[in-house]
Amino acid sequence: MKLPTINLHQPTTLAEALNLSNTLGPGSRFLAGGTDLLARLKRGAAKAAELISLVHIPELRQIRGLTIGGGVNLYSLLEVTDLHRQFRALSQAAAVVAGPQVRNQGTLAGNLCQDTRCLFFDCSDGLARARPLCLKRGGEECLAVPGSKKCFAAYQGDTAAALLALGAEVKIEHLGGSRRLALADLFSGYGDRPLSLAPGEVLTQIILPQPQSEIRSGYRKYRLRGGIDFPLAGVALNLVPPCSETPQGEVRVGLTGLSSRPQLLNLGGKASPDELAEAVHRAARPVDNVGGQARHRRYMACQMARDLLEELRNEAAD
Amino acid sequence: MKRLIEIKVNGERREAVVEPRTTLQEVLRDQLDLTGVKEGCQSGECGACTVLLEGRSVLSCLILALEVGERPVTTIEGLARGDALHPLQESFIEHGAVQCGYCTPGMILSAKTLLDQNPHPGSGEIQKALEGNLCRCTGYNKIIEAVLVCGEEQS
Ligand SMILES: Cc1cc2nc3c(=O)[nH]c(=O)nc-3n(C[C@H](O)[C@H](O)[C@H](O)COP(=O)(O)OP(=O)(O)OC[C@H]3O[C@@H](n4cnc5c(N)ncnc54)[C@H](O)[C@@H]3O)c2cc1C
Ligand code: FES
Ligand code: FES
Repeated sequence: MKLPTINLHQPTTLAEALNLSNTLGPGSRFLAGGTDLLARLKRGAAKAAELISLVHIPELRQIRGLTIGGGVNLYSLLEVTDLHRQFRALSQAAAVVAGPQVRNQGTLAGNLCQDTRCLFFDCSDGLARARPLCLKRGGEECLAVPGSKKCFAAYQGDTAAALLALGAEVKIEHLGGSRRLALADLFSGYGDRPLSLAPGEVLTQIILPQPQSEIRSGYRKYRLRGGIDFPLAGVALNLVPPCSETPQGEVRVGLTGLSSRPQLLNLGGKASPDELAEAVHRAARPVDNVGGQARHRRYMACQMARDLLEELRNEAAD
Repeated sequence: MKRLIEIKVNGERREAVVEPRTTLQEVLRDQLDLTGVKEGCQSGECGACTVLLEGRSVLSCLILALEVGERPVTTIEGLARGDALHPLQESFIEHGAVQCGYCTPGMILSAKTLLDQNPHPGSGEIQKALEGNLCRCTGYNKIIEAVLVCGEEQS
């Protein structure tokens, strides 16, 4: 499988990358580790004539305190001292992305900004063309939910669920300015264009909140094989201790693989495992489009949430 | 547009002519005759194309050759010292961890990434480290055994 013809630009500063993107226009895409984008270009599930590499920009690879550069690869992220102790949901999620080679290459921003997936869209070009094209490939209707004019492709990034539960923010830079968003606002909710980024915007930083004294968080993933596979359902929990604003504390829940965006739910700190499972059941609306059965993915999300809550509470009691 | 580049492979500087879309896998196999780099799924799922980039396992089918720059690449051909095979290669032979052999270069390079960092891994750690390499023949047990014993013998 050869890549289509492309041009490659290799800026060494962010300013240069932003300028290039402005000059080249919407036909250009940023390239980080390439593990999502190059595979999609080969399959015809992404189009780009001009690639702007972010790999040679040292500032994107820096980790300063709680600020992680978008270009930090998942392997380096997992090497950060205290990550597992302070942000366990993130270290558990990053550790189960794909296999080791993808984690050595793939970056955190690339993981967040990966495109959505669906068996009808993200398949080989030959297979996609052997039937009517799906909405996301330019056809008339969604093939996973026949008759629908809305794309249901699933967002399946692992780290997004963890970072949502942990309350992370992201810094987005464009030519002449920058903005800082809650991570939830990075995602549009549309399966056919899942990010709210405008052309030419780069996710430069992921900012974790100051860790509280007692941090209890975790991530659970359901997939068919123990390695390589994307989450068919992923659940992150963060038990936020009581504070003056939320005297009961909070249970923050991040979900992935169950909709066209990663989802954030907030429950009171005293929520029971059954209440949590009920909330996850209501929020999760998977359709049969990424392997496994939608009903079972939803069931697994509820079970994983329940088990994880009990486990984190028992840990606290020890 | 084609460009002449230099890549540091297995300790030597080699020249190649590439297009922007040429992958590291294509350069290594088609121009530098390093056919130990195997061609499998070409989309990141099988690990047959695994090479080391700056000492860590990566998928050469999902890296553009132009992106490699000055970073050193190691393929399976770079592991032996003259006629002396690398201990992992010896161990794979000794434990019958090779059948058709298609996954073997990738397996050994993934195992090397592990042993370089954790010289005496347990079988659980080995299993995790080899998760990105598929084998259709051996059933994995002999591969895990080969890495386990190699780790033990290094002590
Ligand atoms: C076999 C296989 C299995 C996988 N399994 C998983 C899995 O289990 N879980 C999972 O989460 N992912 C999985 N992935 C997807 C992907 O490899 C990872 O998400 C990886 O972290 C992507 O990072 P990258 O740097 O390689 O992204 P790239 O492929 O370089 O980029 C991905 C997208 O993000 C955009 N982008 C990258 N960086 C930025 C930035 N700084 N600002 C703005 N946009 C940017 C690119 O334009 C592109 O659209 C898998 C991939 C493969 C091939
Ligand atoms: S050929 Fe590269 S992962 Fe299969
Ligand atoms: S030995 Fe044949 S694929 Fe592993």
